[in-house]
Amino acid sequence: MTEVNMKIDGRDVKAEQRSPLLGAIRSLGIQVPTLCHVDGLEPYGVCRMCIVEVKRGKRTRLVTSCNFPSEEGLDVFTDTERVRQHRRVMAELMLARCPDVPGIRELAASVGVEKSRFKTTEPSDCVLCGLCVRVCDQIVGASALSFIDRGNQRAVGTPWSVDPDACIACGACTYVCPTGAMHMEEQTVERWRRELASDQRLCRYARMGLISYKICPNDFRCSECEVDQRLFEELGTHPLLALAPGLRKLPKQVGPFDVVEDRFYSRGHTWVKLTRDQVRMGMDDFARKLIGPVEKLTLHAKPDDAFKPGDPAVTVLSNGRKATLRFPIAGTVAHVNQAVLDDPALVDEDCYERGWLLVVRPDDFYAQSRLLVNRDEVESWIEGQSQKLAQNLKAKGIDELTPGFAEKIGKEDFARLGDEFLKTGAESK
Amino acid sequence: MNVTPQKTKESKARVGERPGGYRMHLMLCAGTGCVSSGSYKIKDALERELKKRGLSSEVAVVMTGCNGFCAQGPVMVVQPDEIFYQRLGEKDIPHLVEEHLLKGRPVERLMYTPPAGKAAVPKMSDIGFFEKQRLLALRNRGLIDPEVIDEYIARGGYKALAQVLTEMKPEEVVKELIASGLRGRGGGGFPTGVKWKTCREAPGEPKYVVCNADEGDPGAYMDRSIIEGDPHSVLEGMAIAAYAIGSSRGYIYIRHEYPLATERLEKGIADAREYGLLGKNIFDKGFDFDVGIHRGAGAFVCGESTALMASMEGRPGEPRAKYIHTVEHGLWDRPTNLNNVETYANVPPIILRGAEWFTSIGTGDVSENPWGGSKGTKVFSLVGKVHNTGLVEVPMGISLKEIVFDIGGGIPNGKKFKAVQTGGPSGGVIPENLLDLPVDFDQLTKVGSMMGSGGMIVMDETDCMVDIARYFIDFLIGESCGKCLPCREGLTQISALLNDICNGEAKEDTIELLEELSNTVKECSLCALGGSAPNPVLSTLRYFRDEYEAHVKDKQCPAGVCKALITYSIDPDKCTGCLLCLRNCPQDAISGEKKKPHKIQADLCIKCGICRDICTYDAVVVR
Ligand SMILES: Cc1cc2nc3c(=O)[nH]c(=O)nc-3n(C[C@H](O)[C@H](O)[C@H](O)COP(=O)(O)O)c2cc1C
Ligand code: SF4
Ligand code: SF4
Ligand code: SF4
Ligand code: SF4
Ligand code: FES
Ligand code: FES
Repeated sequence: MTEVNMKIDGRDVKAEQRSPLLGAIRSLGIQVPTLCHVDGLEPYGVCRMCIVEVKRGKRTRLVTSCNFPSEEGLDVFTDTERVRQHRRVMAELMLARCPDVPGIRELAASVGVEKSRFKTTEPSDCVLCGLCVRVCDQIVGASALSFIDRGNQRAVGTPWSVDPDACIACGACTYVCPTGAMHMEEQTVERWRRELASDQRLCRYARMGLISYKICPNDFRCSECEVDQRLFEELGTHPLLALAPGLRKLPKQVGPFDVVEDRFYSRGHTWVKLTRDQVRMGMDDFARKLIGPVEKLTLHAKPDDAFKPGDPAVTVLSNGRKATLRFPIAGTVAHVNQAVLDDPALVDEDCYERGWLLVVRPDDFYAQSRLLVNRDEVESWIEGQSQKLAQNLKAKGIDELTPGFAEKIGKEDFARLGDEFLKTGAESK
Repeated sequence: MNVTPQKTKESKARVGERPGGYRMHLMLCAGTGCVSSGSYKIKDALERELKKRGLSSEVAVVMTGCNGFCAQGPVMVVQPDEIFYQRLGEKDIPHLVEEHLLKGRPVERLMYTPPAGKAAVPKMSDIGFFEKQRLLALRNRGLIDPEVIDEYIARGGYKALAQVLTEMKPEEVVKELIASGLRGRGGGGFPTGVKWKTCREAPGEPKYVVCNADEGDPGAYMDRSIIEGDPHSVLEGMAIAAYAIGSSRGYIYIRHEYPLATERLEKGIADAREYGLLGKNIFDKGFDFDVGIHRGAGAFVCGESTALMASMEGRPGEPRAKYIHTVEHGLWDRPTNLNNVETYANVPPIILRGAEWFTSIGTGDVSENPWGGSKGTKVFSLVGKVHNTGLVEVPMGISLKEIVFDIGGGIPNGKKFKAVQTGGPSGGVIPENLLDLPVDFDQLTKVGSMMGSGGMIVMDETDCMVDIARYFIDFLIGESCGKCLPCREGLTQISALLNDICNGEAKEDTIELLEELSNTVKECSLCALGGSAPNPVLSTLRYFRDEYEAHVKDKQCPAGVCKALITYSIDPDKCTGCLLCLRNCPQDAISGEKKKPHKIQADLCIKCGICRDICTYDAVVVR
């Protein structure tokens, strides 16, 4: 892999050569509106909302950041007047097509458009982002959906407009659809209800191979089913999306600690990952290893609570010792990870994905992210932290950061280390 | 049988020495236009008559490709005298054979007479339509039977291929092409040599050579005509490209609606294989190359490079982002060189006569920078409100005025020239004060239009510019693939705004909104279809804004086209009371008595225009 250096809104950034610009933009905490893109799918580049200006030499052009390849020496501008103007007009076009879809209204509002100057002839729910078609093709592998017709007659349907046997009712299409127009799996389970005897009604997740053999006891009412909810909560997203190859960045080893470079870190060792318009939070591997095996987690905020940096977020209990991690940014809680509260060991197994703690709606993330450690800095920062911790422990006669080192730390030292490294004290922000 | 390079070099190039030892050749057009106006009936009539008169061994009938002057079809050129006959009918033939072929007196009645002039013009090259043309891509136009490979070879065909295989390294071929300044004739104007170089250097095997013969522009038929008239020129160009970039496999992506062209290509490929000009070990130089034909999927957008390749791979013919170029990742992800039909047809003469010769034709200076000018010629299809419509090949840099007035013969029916639209449906219109503009890639772009593939539509004072813009946008709506938002939704809304303007329902700010939206569609669309689709709107706004404003502010259509904004009335001073309009009005909206001025009742009139067309005294007024 070759790294290239670019400038985004005047800030230096490194990125993998040819990787889509959007990744580098988000790594700086800059939010660019996107509609037709989710991580893990091949970029499609059709909503055009993610446009940015790129300058190479004397030439400036408008490109879509979700599929424009990173190149050495690019100068990228994500928020020029030209970009804003076009985004507004496109938001108006979208609103004219989908005047009643909340997701589209929100997206339009995020670029400053409340009302479209264009006429609506036939309101539609589907904005033709193609996410459903692509997820079913690229991640599920079922290819049960396709586009039919062309030009302004284009629509999403099933190939040759027949009821597709190909659909496995995974619900991934419904999950990724930004407008709520897609409900393909309901048609399929409807057919299963008609056609399958009750002893053939295999749970849809068993069909996908995500859980072991199980007959559905719930008449395929997945949204009310515990199995479904458990999987979503554990994974924080649609199970197929979470497990699809290529979606997850592999952790990198820095000394004894794992880091993943697709997100931000706070000085108090929590991580913050930007998704479409929210961020997900959890604790990093350094915190987890310093604290030791998690016995109990107590969250200090529930959905819709507002918080500011330094407010307590979660208290972790381990070996009878407590550490309170604090919010690194300001915002409002959107969801909490019920799965991890029920089974705190998830944090030990996978602190970066399944062990996430909260999803929050940040206040101006771009401004706040500047105070965080970004993916270019994280490696050297953790290295520094690791050396500092090693010195600290050496003074206490603990020689190496071998697995389980946390258990050797005494209660008093633990409080001091927690304060220093995890910023557990209230005054440290 | 193998054609040796020696043999090709020896072949004769003059028509007078065509094989067979005939005294005269009747070069009868068998292009699509003339075939549909009956050229095969003429052929039969000619052959019958020649036989009857015992001339069959002296005079040969040769079916050629399109001659260009299609509106006058069926056309025929008598060689070696180069006498041009037009609009031939079966019943003209006995007379023609008797007078011209037997008695040596060419038949004036069947010749071309210029619109202003009185006297018929016998020689083809003296006719205004042909006089200013310069034939490179169409060098064999009307001179050979496209189905006979020997005739192509006799005119110097496959000599260029022999030359590159025996005397030039692939790098040298690329260098020659770069030096020639040849730029792609399919629309983009990308320097062909530079494309070949990138493709040559791109990693990945095998490499492909593809010819774009999709030609989706309505009314344009440059590429069809080249293939129908001279298929081997394209095959030879492709073979040279393949040698230059290191490929052994070529495809021609041809529009579905071109059966005759496809047939000629199939025959051409089969003959070339038989002569060892395609296939394995061509000219014994260890170079392999073969060509397959791929029938197009029948949408305008399939002519776009990425959509074309997707369609060839059996996927939906939709464009993708071109941030990664098809020269490097093209067909089946392999390096692929795509050129247009006309681009390939230009290659053999460049090789034979050299880059320097080629750069002597055209504009600018390409010695430092291949984008520095436009060299060679361009084929245009000239249609609309001109006398002489048809296919013309002109040197780059010729002025629009020369094309419209000298070649096209000016505007018929005494009407005034208003604008010319170039570049196909998504080109722009160019007004009268720019008629002196030299026609080349960069000048056309500068004034808000484009070369495109070479469509040229002439408009007169009876054309409404808003209505014209709407017409093109509506065509493009149907051709957009619908993948990306600005093109799909944007064109629909542009059309709605134009409809409002034409219907007199526009608001004060409609024009600004139209302009704003057009700019977004142009700048933000995924492919060049959406990227150029607003050109008709933007260019008419640029040059004919007052006409838009008249529609919006005064609720008037100055050209008298937009039905909602016009009324029909009868000028009492001109009306003779002949009752003709009254009898023909489908609505019975006209009243009046014989020899007294008639009147149109506005509430009944549906503005069909029948009365205006039918009135011999020009008394029907539209305002
Ligand atoms: C909507 C659209 C339609 C096109 N149609 C054609 C076509 O019919 N024939 C063609 O040669 N090029 C067409 N092009 C241009 C091709 O994408 C491509 O640039 C060209 O074939 C390259 O050959 P050239 O460099 O020899 O011009 C089209 C482009 C667009 C955007
Ligand atoms: S529910 Fe059916 S259509 Fe939707 S992604 Fe799954 S398999 Fe495809
Ligand atoms: S149904 Fe939903 S996901 Fe599918 S194209 Fe429409 S808006 Fe996008
Ligand atoms: S309802 Fe529950 S058990 Fe049944 S298919 Fe859905 S997730 Fe599986
Ligand atoms: S610009 Fe038009 S034709 Fe091109 S990809 Fe977008 S919708 Fe399709
Ligand atoms: S997110 Fe980039 S075009 Fe839709
Ligand atoms: S078809 Fe005969 S002149 Fe064009």
